[in-house]
Amino acid sequence: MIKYFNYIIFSLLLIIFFVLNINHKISTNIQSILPESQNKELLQEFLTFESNKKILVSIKGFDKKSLDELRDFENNILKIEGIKRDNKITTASYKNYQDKYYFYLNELNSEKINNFDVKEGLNNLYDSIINSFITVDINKNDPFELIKKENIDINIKNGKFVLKDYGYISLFTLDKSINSLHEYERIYDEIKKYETNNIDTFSSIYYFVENSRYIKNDVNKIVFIAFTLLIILYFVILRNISLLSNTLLSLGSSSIVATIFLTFLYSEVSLFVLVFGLSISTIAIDYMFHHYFHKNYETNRGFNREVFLGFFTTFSAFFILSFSDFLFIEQITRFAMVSLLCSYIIFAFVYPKISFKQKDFNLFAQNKISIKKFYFFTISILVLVFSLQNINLDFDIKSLDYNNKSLKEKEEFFKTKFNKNRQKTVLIKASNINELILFNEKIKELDPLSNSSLDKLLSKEIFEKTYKNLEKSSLKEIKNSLDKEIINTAFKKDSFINAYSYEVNKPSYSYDQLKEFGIAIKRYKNEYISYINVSEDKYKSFLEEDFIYSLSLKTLFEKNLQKELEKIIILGLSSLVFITLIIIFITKNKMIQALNFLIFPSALIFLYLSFIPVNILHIFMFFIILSIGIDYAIYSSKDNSKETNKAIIFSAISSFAGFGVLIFSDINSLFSIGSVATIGIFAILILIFFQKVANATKSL
Amino acid sequence: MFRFLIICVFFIFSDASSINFQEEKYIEVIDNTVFKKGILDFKENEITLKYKNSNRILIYKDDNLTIQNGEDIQIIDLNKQIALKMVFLLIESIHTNDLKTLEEYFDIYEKKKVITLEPKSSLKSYITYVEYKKDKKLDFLTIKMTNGNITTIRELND
Repeated sequence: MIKYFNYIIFSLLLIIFFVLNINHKISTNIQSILPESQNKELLQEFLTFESNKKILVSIKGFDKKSLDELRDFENNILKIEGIKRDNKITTASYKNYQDKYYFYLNELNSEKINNFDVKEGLNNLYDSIINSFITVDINKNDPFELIKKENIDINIKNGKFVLKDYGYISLFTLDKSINSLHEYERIYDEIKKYETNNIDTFSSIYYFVENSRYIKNDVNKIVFIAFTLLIILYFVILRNISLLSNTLLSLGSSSIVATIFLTFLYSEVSLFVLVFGLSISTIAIDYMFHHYFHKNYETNRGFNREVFLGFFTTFSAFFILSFSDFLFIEQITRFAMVSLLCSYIIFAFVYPKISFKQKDFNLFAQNKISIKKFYFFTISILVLVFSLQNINLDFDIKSLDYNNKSLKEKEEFFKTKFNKNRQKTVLIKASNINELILFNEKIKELDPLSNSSLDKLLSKEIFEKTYKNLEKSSLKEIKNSLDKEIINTAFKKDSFINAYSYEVNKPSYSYDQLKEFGIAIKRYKNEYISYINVSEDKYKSFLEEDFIYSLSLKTLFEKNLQKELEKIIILGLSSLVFITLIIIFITKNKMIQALNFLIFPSALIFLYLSFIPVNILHIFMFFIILSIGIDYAIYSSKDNSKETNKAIIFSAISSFAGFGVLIFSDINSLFSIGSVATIGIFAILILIFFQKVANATKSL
Repeated sequence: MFRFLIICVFFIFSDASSINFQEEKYIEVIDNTVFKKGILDFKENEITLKYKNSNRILIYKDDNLTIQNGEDIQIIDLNKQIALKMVFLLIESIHTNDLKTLEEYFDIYEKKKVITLEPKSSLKSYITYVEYKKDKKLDFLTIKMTNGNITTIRELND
């Protein structure tokens, strides 16, 4: 029965995994790894604004063929459930409101007002009406056009918006109910089905779909490479299929337990965490190899102290790092702790009962080159001193995500064609609606080219100021004169009864009323948020205001990341001190030989890092490599036998299959981990092969 | 003979055509109706409007309205005067039976050969509805504006 332990446990865990629907809690969105903060919450709130659910469609050319092609495409995509035309409708209540506050929302033409003759104005108005072309367009609030006309610039041709010197453009929007990745994927696939060579489409939701698919494909590619490597290792060299299947099942079971554990702690777990966590789980292979090569699974040799010490120090290093506030690292370390604990228990206590026989094989032995441990130590220290002075840190969290260049180019194309003035979007937050409007007015004053859905709202302060200005103007006299003069004209007496009336109540807006007006506003806790497009050249200075929030991942999390990196370095150094003390305590007179397993990989890693921008994952992976190195340091200093070296070499190759293969990823976060892991493992193998130690036999 | 044929073919296939029309305009603020007669000339991507007893000529082309009054020429960018642009778009689309363009702005209903256009989106702020009847010629085209004004254009026999 015990022989089937791994099969039974794995099957049971798999059932639990699917019954609990754990796979639905796995996310490919980079937000799921961002530090929990107000900035993250605000960003998530912003993403639910309707403006992020627009679909832009463009076609090159203004000829009939292009127009017909676009119309066919539109008809097709309108059949897709959840897509509708982006028709801006001014509701009756919003129009009434704008009519009521007409003189507060628009600028008076003071020059015209000061010299205005009402009698002459009425005569001219009559003439223009009689001589008008086809229709008459009179504003009853302002028949004499004493308000400066708004500069509307909409280019329409054949019922379509026009992108100057390019072609037609159409706008669509997604239904409010479309919020999940699954629905985004459905819509994306259906749109792409109808897209032709001449038609380009873009939507922010494309990032979710394309990045998610790219990440999944990339992860599949990596898992395939890792499996191929492991199969070669077990089938060709170890020739032990039973060991391979049991090890894979044990690692799989440990990872499932860790995944289930994480989904109990967090509502959403990033796929990045799982990939990284799975990679970390492969560290546990060295516990198995050490037991295996020392024949713990064949004869009853009792408790293996070295493996326990190796496990205990690695576990402790992760425990110390788990105090990081960076959600991604917190989740990975917790995943690693649970997974390593499960694996250790299985490899140390269950495998001896299953029993695996070792098939004899000889590794090629090399004794030609042997470098003194002091050389490794001294050179490593010198390289470390040089490299640490040339480290450049990169705090842009976006650089960890998949760099979707083609989609970014498409977004840039639409942005430049749409906006003559380069603009950036910022979020504003206020404790009440009036304050929110006031903040928008403040920005507008500094940047008249800025625009927002709040532009047609009035703060109480601006209302009062405008009222005073209206009182000073001759608007009241014009109104009185109009009421008097109209009697002697052909106009109906009550035609302009409401013209030039500005005696209205102070505006007071409720949240529901603004929603009805179509204003982009949201409740955030007990406050209110909205967004504004500001000129790019003023963007940076605006960010200094405490009510304005950037929506760029780089700016939003730069400070968080800086703080987190400092904390990780402190935690990492604490675990390093802890590891060093343990090594000194365990290895005693073989201390230098053991410490080289920490210092030499560190030297090579930092030499590489001194040439590239260093992100948080490089640093994190560096500490993981140290925690792997410590196992090898303990094993080799305690028992530098052929078996120990075999165990270390196979564990290192297995760790490469776990971490190192991430070097083949195109996603920067995974590549960062893979590159550091590969260099670290390479350094450990160099030590195994070339470090001159007492009673050692170098094997290959 | 050959030259004659070429000229005939040119006239048959060119879009050029013109209609005489009568404009009946109810203006709400004076509670009165104004009648005018004129000619609408249609060329490819161009409409020319001339009223009888007036020197003014209006040319709608490339989103611009050029008003010629003797030697005076005024050019208006119709992208900044949406209501006026819509009127020209309506006339052009109805003249060429371009229902697809009309569908961009209106919901279209037909009852007893009278077609009713109900504006979509922001156009609702300017136009209440449009009605027209057209067989071989335009029986009538009525535009009711939200400000109460109603304009009806009827094609006259030559």
